[in-house]
Amino acid sequence: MAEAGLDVAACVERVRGRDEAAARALVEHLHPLVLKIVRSHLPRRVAEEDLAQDIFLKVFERLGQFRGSVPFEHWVARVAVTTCLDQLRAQKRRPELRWADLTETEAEMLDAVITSANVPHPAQALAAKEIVTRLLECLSPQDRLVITLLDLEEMTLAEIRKLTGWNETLIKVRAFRARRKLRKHLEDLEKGRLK
Amino acid sequence: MNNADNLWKKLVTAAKQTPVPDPGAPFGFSTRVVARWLAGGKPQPSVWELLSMRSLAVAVTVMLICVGVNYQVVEDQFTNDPTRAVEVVAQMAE
Repeated sequence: MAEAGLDVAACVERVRGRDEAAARALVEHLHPLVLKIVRSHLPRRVAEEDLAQDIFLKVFERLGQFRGSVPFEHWVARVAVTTCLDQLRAQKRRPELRWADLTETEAEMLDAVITSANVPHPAQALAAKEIVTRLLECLSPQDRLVITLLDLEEMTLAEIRKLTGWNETLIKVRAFRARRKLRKHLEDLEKGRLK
Repeated sequence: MNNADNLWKKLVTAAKQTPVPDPGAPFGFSTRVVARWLAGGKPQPSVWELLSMRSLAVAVTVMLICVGVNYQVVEDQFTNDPTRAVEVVAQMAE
């Protein structure tokens, strides 16, 4: 669990001196933050623990680049997002999501969502999440990232700018294009239901 | 808002209701990460990798010895005197 009383600045200085105990304390402190990012952007076939380990190793290796101009947690979050983006780039993109690709549970849930005005029941949340993930896999890594941050993480443009380094115009353009592609994939999926 | 946008919104709302797993680090996670970092960050090479590297070194050594022994023949391939190469091969055959 995160250590609430950890003096991060002092800990970072000790880690720079290759202090093992300080490094362990920093990992424990930052683990919830890193894991939250990993779980939001985790590509399939990559274990979350492996990806989290890679992120922490990058953080330690690049510690010399941290100048303290932003809070350490923000800098770590940016390293985590960049690492996830690299992993997503390495993953082959799904060309489309067809109705036939859905499991019986997912198809039933989606059918109910399409035909009614209601939001799916919480018991169907896992099926909904699976469909959302598979639809996001049809997008490019940057498009996927921007939609995840805006819609699932509910971040503001300013927060996304800090996390990714993209300017707000670029974020808006990417979000617009990503939504257009997502809409097309959803329409194609709906057409498959009628066949 | 069209149907697709509305459908996406409903799916996202439902997806957010999935229970959040425990964010705690697995047992020994920080120790493993720090050990990898202090060891250079790279995992130890596998036995197969080590054997492959040794095989490569042996193969390069054997290749260099062969080239050294047959240097004259190789050199003659690039001269205009083919008879010299034949002589060297004949000497080696004796």
